[in-house]
Amino acid sequence: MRNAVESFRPERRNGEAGLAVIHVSVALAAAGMVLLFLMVVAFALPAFLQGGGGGPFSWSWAPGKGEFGILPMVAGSVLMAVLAVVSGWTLGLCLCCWLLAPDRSGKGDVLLRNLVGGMVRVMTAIPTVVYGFAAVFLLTPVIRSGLGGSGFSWLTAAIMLSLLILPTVVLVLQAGLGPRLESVRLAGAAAGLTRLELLWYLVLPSSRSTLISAAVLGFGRAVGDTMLPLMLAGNAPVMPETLLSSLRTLTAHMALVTSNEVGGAAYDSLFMAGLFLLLINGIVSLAIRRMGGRS
Amino acid sequence: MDKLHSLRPVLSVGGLSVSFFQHTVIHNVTMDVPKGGIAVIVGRSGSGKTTLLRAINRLNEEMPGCRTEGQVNLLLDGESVAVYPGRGERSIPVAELRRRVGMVFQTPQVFPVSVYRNLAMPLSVAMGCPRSELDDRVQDALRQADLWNEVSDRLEMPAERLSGGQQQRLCLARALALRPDMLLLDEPTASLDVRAARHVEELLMSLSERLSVIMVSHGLAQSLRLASFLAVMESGTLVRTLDEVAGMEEKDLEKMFEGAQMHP
Repeated sequence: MRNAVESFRPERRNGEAGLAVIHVSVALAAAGMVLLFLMVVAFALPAFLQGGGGGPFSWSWAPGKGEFGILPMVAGSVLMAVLAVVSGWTLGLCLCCWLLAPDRSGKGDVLLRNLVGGMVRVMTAIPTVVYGFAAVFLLTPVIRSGLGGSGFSWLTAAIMLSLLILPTVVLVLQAGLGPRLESVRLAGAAAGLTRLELLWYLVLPSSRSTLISAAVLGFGRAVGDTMLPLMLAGNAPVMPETLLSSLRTLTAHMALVTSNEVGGAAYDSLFMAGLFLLLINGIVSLAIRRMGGRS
Repeated sequence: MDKLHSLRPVLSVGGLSVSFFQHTVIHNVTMDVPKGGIAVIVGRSGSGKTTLLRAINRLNEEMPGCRTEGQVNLLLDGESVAVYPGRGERSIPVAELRRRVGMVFQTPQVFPVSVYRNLAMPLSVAMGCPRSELDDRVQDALRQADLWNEVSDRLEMPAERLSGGQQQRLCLARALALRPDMLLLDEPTASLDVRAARHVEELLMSLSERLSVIMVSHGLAQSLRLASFLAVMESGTLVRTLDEVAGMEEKDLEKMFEGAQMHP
């Protein structure tokens, strides 16, 4: 028994079994990812080759008329995620600055900061359906009576999505900016600089990669989330005209179609949608990283 | 009148105690530091000398659970200023205090930006120095710290790429750029090699002709070399102060420490 345990310690000379576990895990994970990509591409290929009118590369989704265009949903996903990331990232950055660089240090302020910090952590564990459910009853009526429209819109879903990605953004930023601020805090204070000034003039300019990582992870979550757009965006498969228009994202589209169809051209076009989702996420991540790397 | 003026202490500490989370680090320190030369606070590790130094620019307050009692008075521009003002006394804002009392740390604390920005950023942000004057003041401070000749063609280089000794002189330049009335130095040569340390020591000697310098050291030889005023700390209390160290040797100082240990 003891020997068996010993052999599972990778740091030991005779821990070959431990190493084997690591290798097998890596192989399984890598194979899983490759298979997933291959499957999506393989299933999407027929829809891709179909081409012409009614294929996935058109702006009209009308299965009854044999039109399976998913471009409105591609645009919807991009628009939705961009709005959510722009507002969620900005909000997260400000929140993170407030958490790291308190402007007051009274007992009440410390308590409030701990409370908000704790709340952000708890928010990571809340299922998105809960956000969606709450928003249907709380946010949509406000949008409907305040701004007009049905209340189920690009804006409504984007507001909730930005709240959804907020904890991700804040935690990534905090983990990256906190130690950097700590390293200049004393010397900065001795020069008469406040924490906020240190953050703004020293830490943020030298933390480009952290800022980008937060945006990329936030975008990934926003573009991949299904429940919030499905519940709040109205799901009309057309390009939105204003922030108050209804739109349909790729994720919501896939959820809607799979719940109604099995097999057939509509179903096949879903693989195309899945491929697009992967591509959008990949391209945007690369573009954001490239943007940050170049400047 | 002039004579009377020079008799006023540049730093006056009265009944100063500092504790962190109820743990007393320095206890009831009282001393007057005369104007001119370098005042050295000497003591073993953990004797409370850094905490005493940080009480002068209220930097202890950046640490959690800090409690300070007693008085610290500084002579700034010929005027006595209470660092911890009681009721009715004129108070000085913390940011202004720290700007007028520069500090250099044990390990070089350069900012992760360019050599130029290390000096220009505090100048423009903490002091509101107009952009047109920045270049001159940066150059002036680098010259004072005897660093200009080494970095004049590399001002845009990241400061972290300088050698340890250069980094420490950059920190000195950063403090000097704000034109302080007083410099606080926390074992500024502890992390440097012998040559770099001597270089910094020579600089401090020449700077002390123009502004008050208060320095923490745990090296007895260095203390005797530089000090015109010496304060000996042991276990959080001030053991004794010396206005004259000429003719003293290391073993005399050593005896003071041992005496303090026997009669705490």
